[in-house]
Amino acid sequence: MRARLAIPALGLWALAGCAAPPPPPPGTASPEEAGLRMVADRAEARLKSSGRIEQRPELDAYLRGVLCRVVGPGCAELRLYLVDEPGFNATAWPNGVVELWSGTLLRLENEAQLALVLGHEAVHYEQRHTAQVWSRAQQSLGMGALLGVLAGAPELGVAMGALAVLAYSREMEREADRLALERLARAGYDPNEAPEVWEYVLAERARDPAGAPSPFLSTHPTDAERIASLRTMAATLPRTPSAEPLGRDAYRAAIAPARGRWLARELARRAFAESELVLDRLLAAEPRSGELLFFAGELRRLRDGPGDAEAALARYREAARLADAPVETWRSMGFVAKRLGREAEAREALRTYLARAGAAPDRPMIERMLAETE
Amino acid sequence: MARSRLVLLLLLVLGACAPITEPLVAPAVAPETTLGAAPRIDGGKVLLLPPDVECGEVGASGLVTPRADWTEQAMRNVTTALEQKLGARNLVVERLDEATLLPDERAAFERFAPLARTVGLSIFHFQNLPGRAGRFDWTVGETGKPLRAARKADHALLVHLRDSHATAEAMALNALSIAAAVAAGAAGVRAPVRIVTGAQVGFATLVELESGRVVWFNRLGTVAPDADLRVPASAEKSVDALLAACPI
Repeated sequence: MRARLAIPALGLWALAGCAAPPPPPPGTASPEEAGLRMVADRAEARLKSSGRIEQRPELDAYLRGVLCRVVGPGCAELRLYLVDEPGFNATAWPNGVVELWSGTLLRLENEAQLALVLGHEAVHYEQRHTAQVWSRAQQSLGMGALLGVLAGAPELGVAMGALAVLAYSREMEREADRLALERLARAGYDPNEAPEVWEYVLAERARDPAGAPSPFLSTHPTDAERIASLRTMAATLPRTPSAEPLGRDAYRAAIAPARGRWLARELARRAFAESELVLDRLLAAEPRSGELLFFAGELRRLRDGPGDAEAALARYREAARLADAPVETWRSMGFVAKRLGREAEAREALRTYLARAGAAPDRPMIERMLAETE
Repeated sequence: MARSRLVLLLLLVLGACAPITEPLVAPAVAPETTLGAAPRIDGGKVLLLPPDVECGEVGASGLVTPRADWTEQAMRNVTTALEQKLGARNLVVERLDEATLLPDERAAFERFAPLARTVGLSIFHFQNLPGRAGRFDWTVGETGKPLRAARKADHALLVHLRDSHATAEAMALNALSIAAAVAAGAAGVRAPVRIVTGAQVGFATLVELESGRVVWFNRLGTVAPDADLRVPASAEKSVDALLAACPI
């Protein structure tokens, strides 16, 4: 029994035991690092043939341009993949892959924020954070196991070691934040955009009913303290003057061709509370976007809560008055109006859809629906 | 109770357990599993996909760190053993080398190989679920056809192996853990034992390219310390065990 009581004390020793090793000099690879690279290379080959990579050369060129602007010459070592996945996630692999989920681009407001996310991941790669966290995990879990064995509770010791690894990985996150922020400012972007990204991430997490954070959140512990320290840092950084410190228009123009498809994917997650935040933010910036109003309607139609049908119809009507409303606006408007018993409006909307949709594959179905209501 | 568990663990560490192999065979017609020997496939051509081998080191932490140098050795040994074993049989064996694929062959390969791997992993993990009630009816659909057309082959064989070896630190900690538990046991206290071992696990899957059916499957799992893919003779033994009842 006495031995068991000693565990917390031993755990604290494990936590405090080792100072952070300096990053290894460039050009050298430990067997450990070579192993992690090998696994990453194999995963990259699988990713490339998976069909999950967005095929958008213009967008790729834009993303690469931002990456290189913030990273500098080191970007030659990085391979950026835009992966067709909803949700917020970006990952740096130990072989120089930067994986960016398309859902991330719906959640950023401008080029400065994008530059922060890409710069942050680039720092993880350059500072070899994966290998460092890995060897720290080996040390801490091994040390935890040893102390646990001595104290008669091996798995508890390992768990204490795991806590030490988490603390260490947060340290790496802070380092990535700090270095990315410096580069952001040096590249002429507004560093005050950095805390905005994490603020948003926090806000979205607060809306998640299941409390299951995105893969990004589970590895990027975000808290008020981190945001506050970023704000202080951003305010004091020397900045390179620039004509476009935010790059909002360029960012919007770059993602515009793909945005509708990503929004459809976003809604397919059926995480409506989070998607509503995404859409609210996009709409606050572009209140007269027919595309965004259509998806705001779709969110309510699919969620189908109390009052959602009416709210969806109102948004479709508003979208229909705007030039960039997608043709599906009238189809959805017809469905919802029909459900609400507004037969005349439903017919009108479905007819408009048919007139505009050309050879849509669902044409026969809509024609039949129209025939039934007439 | 604690004692008998300890003995079992000791046996495990000392490598007393034999490799587990469990060949599975797809039936020609009825969707039921036949365990054991499948009807021999005579003649024809089999494509040997690049073996999916990874070798790593398991430390006192219990984490497996992949090792590129060991993996390269293991890959060479497994490939050689596979070629030797299949070379002795009455069929044409063609090694598919990723580096020398023509563009259309690459497209066919990239459609087929990841799916064959995923289906193999699914068989490995899920074949024994009670809900499957012993059915063995896995398929990769139509994805084998382009590869068959490109290489005029009848079957494809994929071998997937993960091989890990405990570090000296891990072994020392094992010994310490056993000693601590024995000492505690002598004092009348039950203490848990923590053992970290290397392991060799994997599978071989044989796919009929025309139909897409997985016609035969076998898995391998051992913690024997002499199971080591880095050593040619040991790799040969593993491949022998894996392909023991292979119909090709």
